Amino acid sequence: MTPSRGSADALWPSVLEVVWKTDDYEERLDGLLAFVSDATGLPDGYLYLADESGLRFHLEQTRARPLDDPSRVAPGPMAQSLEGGAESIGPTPALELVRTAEHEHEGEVATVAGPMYSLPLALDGELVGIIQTGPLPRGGISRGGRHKLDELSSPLAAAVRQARGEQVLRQRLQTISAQLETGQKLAGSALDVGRFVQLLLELGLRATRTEAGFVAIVDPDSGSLEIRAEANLPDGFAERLDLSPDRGLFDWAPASETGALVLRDLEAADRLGIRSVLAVPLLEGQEPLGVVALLNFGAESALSGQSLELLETFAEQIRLMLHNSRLFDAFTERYLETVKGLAQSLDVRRPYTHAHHERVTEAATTLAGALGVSPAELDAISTAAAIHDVGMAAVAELEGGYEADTEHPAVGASMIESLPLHPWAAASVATHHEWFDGWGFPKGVKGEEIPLGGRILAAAEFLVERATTDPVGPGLQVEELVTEVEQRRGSQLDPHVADAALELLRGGRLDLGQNVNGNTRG
Amino acid sequence: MREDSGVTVIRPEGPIDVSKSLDLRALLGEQVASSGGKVLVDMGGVPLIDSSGIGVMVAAHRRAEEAGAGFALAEPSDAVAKVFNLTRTDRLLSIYPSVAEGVAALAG
Repeated sequence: MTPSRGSADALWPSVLEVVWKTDDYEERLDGLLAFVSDATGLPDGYLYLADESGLRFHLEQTRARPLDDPSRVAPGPMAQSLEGGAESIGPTPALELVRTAEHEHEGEVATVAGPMYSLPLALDGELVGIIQTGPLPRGGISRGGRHKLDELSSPLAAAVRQARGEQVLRQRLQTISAQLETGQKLAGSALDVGRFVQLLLELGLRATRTEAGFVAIVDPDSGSLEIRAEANLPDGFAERLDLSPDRGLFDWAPASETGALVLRDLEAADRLGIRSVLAVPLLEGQEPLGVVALLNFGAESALSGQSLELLETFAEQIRLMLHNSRLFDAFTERYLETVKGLAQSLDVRRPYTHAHHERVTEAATTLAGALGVSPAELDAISTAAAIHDVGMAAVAELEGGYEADTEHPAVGASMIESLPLHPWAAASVATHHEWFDGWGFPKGVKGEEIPLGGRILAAAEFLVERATTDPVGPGLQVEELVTEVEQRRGSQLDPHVADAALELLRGGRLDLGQNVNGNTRG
Repeated sequence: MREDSGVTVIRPEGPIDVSKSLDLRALLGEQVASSGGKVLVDMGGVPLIDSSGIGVMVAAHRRAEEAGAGFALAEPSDAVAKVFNLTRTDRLLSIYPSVAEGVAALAG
């Protein structure tokens, strides 16, 4: 019997209503399979969608009777019971079909899930997908059922294409939103690699609905992995985790050839209570930079094709961050060497400034050490001392030898303030001519408005200059330096720094270097 | 598990995580050692694999290489193929789009 055009047309609004009544993609597809089931009386349905190439179909939605349904022949089509953890004891529908001419025509097909009826979903000459419905009763599908399916083909194709199109847009939107969110958060924390990586890890966990995770970075010297960011790890987990390259949780041996990363120590993962782990290598070419590891302890992994795409996005952001950080570190190192070279070239202009930066660095680090600053602060003071007068290179020298030098601290600081250094580095250069009582230059700031690094550097340079014979007068001996420091304690010099300098001077522990006459001072 | 053209085809079912990997490692180790050297893992029933499962596959691959045997994977889902790609193990392992192609490659 040829269906009347009228009855076929009447199916369109009914089918499309399934799509319109919900926004949820899976509910939409399930509703369409339910529509097919109601129309044919066949309980199980599998919807396959064509991939971009059109050469394969992927199983997108399943609507099957529950496992305990007595109508199912055990083991049923969707049974996933395992024997020995690896073997199936029941057939399951194929997850993927390679397209053949058979898929373009409706009809009965033998599948791994049993005999089914295959309905191509074609619209405007395009094969959108296939619905397999069954199991077929003995004797095959009824003529009525076959007729209904024939009428449903085009409206179902339109509904599936509508649902799929919206879903693709939603996934793109989600990916773009995640990237945008990442970009916005990154913009607010320039150069702070640790914060970046922590942020990206947390965003990655949220996007992939994973319980916990960590990012470990390869130490360039030792080659071992060190955790730089972690989220939601159980107490004591990080301490019990062995990430050593030769026997740790991850095997880096294949990385030398392919960049591959695998989990080596299954027993360790089991002991640590890990249910599932996905470790993504971060690579610079073939060189391992680190690893992003996503962990589930209780929940089953919710990773899907889409969340794996998102994970790839986050891993790439972290990799780029590490790459840029390494590049910037290398640039900073080379740039600082250049600036130090420039500062040293200024020292040789006059006999009495010979090795000035080197001597001030030695005095400043000794003072800073005596004052108990942190290693990072000590490093910043050392850097500042090594270049503190480099701004003089930009200052015009006037007739008679007088120099318009009041801006050189600011000029010098501006040469390094954009580098990823401890804030004391640029601040110490900027304030090394400020006085504790506010009578210094260029800004006249006073007291603790001047960073400790600047107060230490000011004292170090004062001592080196006073110990040096120059056109103003002969270099001072230790006793004279002690008197000078005592007189300036609390006015030019920070009292605490002055006290430390006095103790070092009196103890003969402050090396102020050699002056122009070769006399050792201090 | 079945035999096809002299190739042992193993078809795990369900997601492969740490506990499943422990079982799978024992099964694959045994088969690679005793199958006459040709083992194909049909991934068609595996919706997702984690790094522990990938570790097992790489270990079996290495073991087969050392023994002059054959080991390959076939028919990974998109998500599973993505995991192999993300971990760069797709460059290390032999992965075929279909079981038929995998069997043909190993049998040949």
